[in-house]
Amino acid sequence: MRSDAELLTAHADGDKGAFAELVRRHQSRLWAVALRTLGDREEAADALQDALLSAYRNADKFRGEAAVTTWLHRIVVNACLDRVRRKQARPTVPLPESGPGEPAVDTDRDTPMLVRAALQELPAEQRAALILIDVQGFSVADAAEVLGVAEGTVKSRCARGRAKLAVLLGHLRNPSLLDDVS
Amino acid sequence: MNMYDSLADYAGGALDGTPEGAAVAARIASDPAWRAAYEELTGALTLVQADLAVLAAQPDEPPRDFAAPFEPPALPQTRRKSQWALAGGSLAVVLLALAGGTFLLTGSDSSSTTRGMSADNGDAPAGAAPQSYAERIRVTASGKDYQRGPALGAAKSTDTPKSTSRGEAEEQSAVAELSRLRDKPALDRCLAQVQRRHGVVPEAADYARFEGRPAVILTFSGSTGIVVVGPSCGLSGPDEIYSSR
Repeated sequence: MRSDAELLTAHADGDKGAFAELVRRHQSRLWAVALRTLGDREEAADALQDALLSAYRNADKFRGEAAVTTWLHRIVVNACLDRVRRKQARPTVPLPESGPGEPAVDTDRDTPMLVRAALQELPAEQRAALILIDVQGFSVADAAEVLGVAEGTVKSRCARGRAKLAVLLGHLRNPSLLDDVS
Repeated sequence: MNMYDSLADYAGGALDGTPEGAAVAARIASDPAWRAAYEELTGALTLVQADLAVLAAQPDEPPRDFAAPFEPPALPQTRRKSQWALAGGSLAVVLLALAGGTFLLTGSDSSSTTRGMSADNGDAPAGAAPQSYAERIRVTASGKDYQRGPALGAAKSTDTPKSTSRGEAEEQSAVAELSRLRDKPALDRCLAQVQRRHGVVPEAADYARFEGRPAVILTFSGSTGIVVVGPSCGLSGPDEIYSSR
């Protein structure tokens, strides 16, 4: 089986099936990143399609300084963030307001939905970093490469994103403790 | 930076090895309020990461094969006349075959223009852009008004067109109302939506009317039916008006 780099090189050299093979190998992970970053299936499909077309056209610019998958993820994440910035996307699923007398949420079943909705409340850069690291399992170094920022920036975006999610998901048992310090 | 961000950064390792990190650590060690806040936050962060792990375990399969547009054409591409043009005045028969005999779509006019958004002159050179859906499809802009009709046998027996001729001006009007879909990226998004719903990419598109409404008539290879979409195709779905698939 040809490696990712071999497939990309073959594509740049005119192998007509190489790029499709590369996409087929990684499309599930690329789709997951696009979907979770944008929170909307149609937007994600359009972003992924645009990103793959861009990768296809710019394969000859790949210098091998990062893994091919990192390069592909960078293009997909950038396509998603561009869409977020252009459209100033709003959350597609509102967070439910729970309170006395309201039906209890089946948290086991609804956790993914709640987390998806909460993720959409985060600034896009924090969301992208969190998705890469906490959902897709990237290392901080690889995520930094994908996002084109320093590792410390990735850590900070993740840390603050998680802290915001803690509030959004209601995990702070005693939020007033955080108000008591200055 | 506020206290919450400082604690979040500290808990997330973003301040490791920095003077600010040391300052936050000292404050947590010496100030009970900071220590309580830190413990509150780290407990919540553990739950957040558990939630994210649940999300990570959720399967999210791609809605379609995103590699398909980059596949080389399955058959050698040769310059072909459009099916509409080949059909001449017997367009109904061609459409019947494509519709699988379920419904009859008839056109009132055999005038057909192949304008070829497609690069149907063979394989693209290496390194060139792949054929998008819009580039693969054969495009005509007949402006005809198609109608649902009876099955093949009945159509042959009556041999009566189900639509009326609308004249050249109205045909141009129909096509004008579909002008958004003459833009290749817009058509590409439309065809992607059709592919998502039906699992296959159309082979040909005719910018026309369907029962009086501006519509694009999409046909597929292998006589696998017809899909009719409206001017909003691709905006928030395929805007499907009719399907015999």
